[in-house]
Amino acid sequence: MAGYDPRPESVALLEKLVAALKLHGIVTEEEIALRKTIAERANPETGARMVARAWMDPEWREFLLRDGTAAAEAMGVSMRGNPPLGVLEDTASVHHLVVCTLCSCYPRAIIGYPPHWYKSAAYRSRAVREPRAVLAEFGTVLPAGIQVRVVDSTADFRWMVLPLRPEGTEGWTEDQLTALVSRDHLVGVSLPNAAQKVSRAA
Amino acid sequence: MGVVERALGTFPNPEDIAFNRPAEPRVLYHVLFDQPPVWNEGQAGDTLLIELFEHWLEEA
Repeated sequence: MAGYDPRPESVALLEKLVAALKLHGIVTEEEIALRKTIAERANPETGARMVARAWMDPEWREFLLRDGTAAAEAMGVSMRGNPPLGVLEDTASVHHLVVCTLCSCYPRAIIGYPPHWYKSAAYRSRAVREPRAVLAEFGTVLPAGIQVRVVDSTADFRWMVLPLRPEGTEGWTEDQLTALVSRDHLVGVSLPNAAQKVSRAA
Repeated sequence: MGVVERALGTFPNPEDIAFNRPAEPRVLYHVLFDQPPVWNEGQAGDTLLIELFEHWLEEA
């Protein structure tokens, strides 16, 4: 990952662990390479595109909400070995916020690695207790009349938010809409905005 | 008191997985709670949606 240098002792420990796993025939070099490729390919653009399609195509939207796992597969993402994906539809009266109070459950296959704050004790404990204060710290103030629904993602399911399509995006293409949707929107800590294109620089 | 929103499918019982025992399949539900009564604070209308296994639920 960019901007992160592992400590030398962690690297040494990892190398010893991998050598032991290989020695006992538990993993092969090929399997490790495959998982690495899958992990590196996963990034929020997949989730963003799923959202953009849902904004454009009612049939896809219905499919995405009914079976997120199958929808991810239809996007070319292998969900084998991943927990099922559920999609939470924001409405004019309900906004969803995803947290994993236990640890770091996160739909990695379609959003990539969770950000540091998602795994922090502060986010995990505060999101369920004072979600509006957490949202405010992300610069998100919900319009009056919108209820917050905090969704605790635990071991067996993964959750992604389908935000409302921002105003002022009528007639936009799928690519233009995809470029508006960030990781934070898919977790629900902030809302997409027609004036704000997302930077995908890793 | 929570309200079952929907069944999410069948998953191995985590109480068994935690002890590395063969795990019985159990039905998992999405259960919706009003948030303010849980913490005695918060905004009316806000909710928590939580995954709970069938054998952890009691009839309300």
